[in-house]
Amino acid sequence: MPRYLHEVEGLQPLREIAREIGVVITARGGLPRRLLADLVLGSGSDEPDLFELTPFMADINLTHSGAAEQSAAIMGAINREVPMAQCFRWELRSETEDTEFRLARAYNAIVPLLHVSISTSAGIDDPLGARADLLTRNYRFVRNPAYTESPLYRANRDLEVFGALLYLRSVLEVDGAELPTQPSLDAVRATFEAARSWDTRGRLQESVHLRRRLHHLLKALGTATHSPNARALVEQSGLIEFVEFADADLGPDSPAGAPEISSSFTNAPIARNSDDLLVRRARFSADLGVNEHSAITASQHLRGDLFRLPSRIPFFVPVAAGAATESAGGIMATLSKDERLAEGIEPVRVSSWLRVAPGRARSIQSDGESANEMIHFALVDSPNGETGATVNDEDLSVLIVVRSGARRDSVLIAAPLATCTSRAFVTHPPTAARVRSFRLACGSLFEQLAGAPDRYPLHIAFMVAVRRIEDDVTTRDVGVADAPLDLGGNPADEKIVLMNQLQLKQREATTA
Amino acid sequence: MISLLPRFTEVRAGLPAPGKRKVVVFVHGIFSSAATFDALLASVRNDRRFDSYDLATYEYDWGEPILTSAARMRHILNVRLPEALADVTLVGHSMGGLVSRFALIGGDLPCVRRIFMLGTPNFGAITAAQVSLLWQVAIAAAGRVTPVFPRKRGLRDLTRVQGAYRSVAASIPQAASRARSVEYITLPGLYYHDERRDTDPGDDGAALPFTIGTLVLRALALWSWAEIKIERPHDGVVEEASVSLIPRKAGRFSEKSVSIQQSPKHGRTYCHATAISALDSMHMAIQSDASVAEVIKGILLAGSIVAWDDALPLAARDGFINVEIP
Repeated sequence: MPRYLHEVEGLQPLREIAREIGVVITARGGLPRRLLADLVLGSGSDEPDLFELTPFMADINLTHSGAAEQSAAIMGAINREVPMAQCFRWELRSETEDTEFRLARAYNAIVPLLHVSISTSAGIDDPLGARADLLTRNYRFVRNPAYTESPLYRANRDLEVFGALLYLRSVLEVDGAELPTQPSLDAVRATFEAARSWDTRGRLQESVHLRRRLHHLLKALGTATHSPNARALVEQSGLIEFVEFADADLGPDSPAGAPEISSSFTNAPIARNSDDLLVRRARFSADLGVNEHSAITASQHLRGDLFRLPSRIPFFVPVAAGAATESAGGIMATLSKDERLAEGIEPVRVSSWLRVAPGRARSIQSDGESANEMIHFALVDSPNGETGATVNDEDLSVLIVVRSGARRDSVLIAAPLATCTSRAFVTHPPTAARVRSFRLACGSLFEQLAGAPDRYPLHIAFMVAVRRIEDDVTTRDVGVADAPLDLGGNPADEKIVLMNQLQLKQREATTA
Repeated sequence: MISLLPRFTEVRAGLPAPGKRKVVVFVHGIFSSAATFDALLASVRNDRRFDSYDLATYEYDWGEPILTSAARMRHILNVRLPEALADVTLVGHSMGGLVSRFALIGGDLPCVRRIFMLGTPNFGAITAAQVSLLWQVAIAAAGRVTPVFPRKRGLRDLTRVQGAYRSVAASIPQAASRARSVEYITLPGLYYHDERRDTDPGDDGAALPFTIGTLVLRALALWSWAEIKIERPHDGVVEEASVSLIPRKAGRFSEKSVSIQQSPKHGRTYCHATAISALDSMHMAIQSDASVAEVIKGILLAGSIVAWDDALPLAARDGFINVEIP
C-alpha cells in the first residue's frame, strides 16, 4: 500500500517531477481519502492504481509548494511523464492560490474524511482522525456554526449543503455496502432541512455556479448509492426533500419530462424544440438514482445551464441485430453497414442518439488550455450482468458514433480514451450486477464537430463495448520433448498453427 | 472473440539446407496483427535468395503487459526453435520490437541472433495523447472499428518503457550480457522532419489522418496540432531519438548501451540505419517500406551488421541518411 503520493501506481513520476522543480506535491480530496480507506478497511486492491482511485467524476486535486508561475511547468511535466495522464482531469494550484479555499475550509462542516491528504514528502496526513472514523465505522459530520461567515458562501460560491453532500458521498464511497447507522445523520438532516429556505432558493436562482456544483455533487452521490444501505442513508438524510424543494422552482414536469427553460437561467442560442433536452434546465432529481436503463451523465458545462449533453442518457442492450436496430435507433445497423467492428469487440450497450450542444466551455477559453473535454456516465449492468461480473473494467471501453450534416446516414466513428471503473451493485437477493462508470477523454471533438460551419445539428451515440480474447495459454504449454520445427503440426498442441509449404499452398488454393 | 492468442504461425518452411535452420519471426506492433507484415513477408518470400529460410509470425494480445507477451514468446521459441537447430532473427514493428527485446533479456533465449526494431519506442516517451493519435490512425488504416482500452497494461507499458527496462535490469543481472552478442538493428520513420510542413498530406495522401483528415481523428488526438515538433524528427508517433538505442539524452540506457559501455567491441553488434525513404515513412507504414526490407534482407544475407556495412556499395550508401554503428 502506498505511503507517499509517488508510490501510488501511476504517479511514480511525481517524485522526479517534484525533485527537479524543487517543490512538494500534495494530493487532497478523494484520492487520499480512498487510499486511506483501502489502507484501513482493506476494501480495495493492495496496489490500487490511479483509475481505481478516481471513480465517477473524480478529479485529481493537487497543490504544490512552489510559486504560482511554476504550475504550468509542473502540469506540463505531469502530462509528459505520468502514464495516460490525459485520461484524467487534473487540478493543480500552488499553495498560495489554494489559500482562499484553505481559509474557507475552516468554516465548513467538520468532516475528518474530507481533510486527508498525501504528499511526496510527508506521506498521508490525517489531521482530524479520519483513520479512527474508518476503524469505528462512525463517520463524523459536525455542523459549523460559523458557516455563514465563510468567504465562499458570502461570495455565492458555496452552500452548506455541499458539505453534507460531500460527506454522504465520501461515506458511501468508502463504506457504502453494509453501513451501520450513523450518529452524525441528525446533523446532516438538520443541514438539509435548514437549506430548504428562501435564502437557498434565491442563491440557486442567482448563481449558475451553485446550480452547476449542486448537479455535480448529486451525480457523484447518485453513482455512489449502490446498495440498499446506501439508499437508506440517503433517504434518511433529508436529501430527497431538499432536492424536491430545489426542483420545485422549476415548476411541473413538461410532457417531455423536463420543464421549459427560464430565460434567466440560460442564454443558449440554440433552437428549442419539444424533444431537445439540451435547452431545458435539468432537474436536480434526475441526478440521483443509478439504474440500468439510463446513465447518469456529466459533460462539459458550456454556459448558463447549458451542458454539452443531457443529464440522463437512455441505454439499450443490443441483444439481437433486429432488436438492436429498433431499440438503438439504427446505430447497430449503421455500424454493420458502414463499418466493421474489429474481431473480439462486442457491443454490450448502445445509447439513443443525443443532440450535442455546440460551443466552447468558458472555463477552457479563460485559461487557454487545449481542450480535453471529459464525458462521464454511469449505469448498472443488468441484474444478470450482461457484461458479466467476470469482465474486467480494463476490457470495457466506449466508441462514439457521430452523425452530422444533412444526411442522417453520414456517420463517423470516434474512439476516445475511455476507461471504466466499477463496483458491485448490491441487491437482495444478490446478483452479478455492477455500477459501471465510464470516463471519456474526448479532446476537442465536440468543440470542433458541434461548431462546424455547416450548422447542422450534431448527434452522437455511445456504444459500450467489451473486448473478449481467448487466452488459453496453459493448453498450449508444450513440452521440450515435442519435436522442434515439426512442420506437420502437433496433435497435442493444436493451437499452435504450423504449416509447411504444401499446407501453405493448400491453404492458398482454398482461399483462392 | 479473438481466439488463439498468443499464436505462433509458421508462414513458410524453407527448403532443406545444410546447417542450422534460419528462421525469421515477425512480431507485430500495437493495434495490429501479423497481417501488418504482408508486404514485408511477400518481399522475402518472393526473393529466391531466401528459399531456405523459415518464416513465422508471433501474434500476441497487445493489451497484456509487454513482459508477459515477451515471456510467452520466449517459451514458444525455446520449445519450437532450440539453439542447436535454429538461428533466429526477430523482426519487430513498434511494440513488437519491445516484446522481442524483453523476450531476449528476460530469460534464456539462446536461439536468437538478431533483432530488427522498426519504429520501436525503445525509450518510451509515448504519451496517452500519442497512443490516442496512433489508435485513430490505426482505425483509419484498417477500416475496422475498435475502442481504445487505456487501462490495458500493454498500452500503459508503452508509456513507460524505461521503467520496464529498469525493473528487468534490476531483477535480472544478466540482462545486459544476454544482449551482448545479439545484433540489434533499429530503423526509424521520419515522416515529420524539418523540411516538411505539418499540413502536408504527402504525395499519396498517406499522412491524411495527421493533417487534413477527418475532424474526428484530429480532434481526438488530444495533442495540440501546433505542438508537433518538426525539429525533432518523428514518424507521427515515435521520435527517432526514442527508436535509436544510442543514448542521446542523460538517463536513457538500454541493455545494448550497457553492453557497449562494458566493451566497445560490442558496438559492432548495433546499428541504427536511417534510409532516405524514412523521410516518407509514417509509423504504421515503416514495416512496408521497401528500403527497410532491403536492409533486413541485406543483413540477413551478409550474416552480420559489420559484413553488411563493409559490403555496402557506395551507390547503395546514397540511399541512407545515416548508418550509425558505435
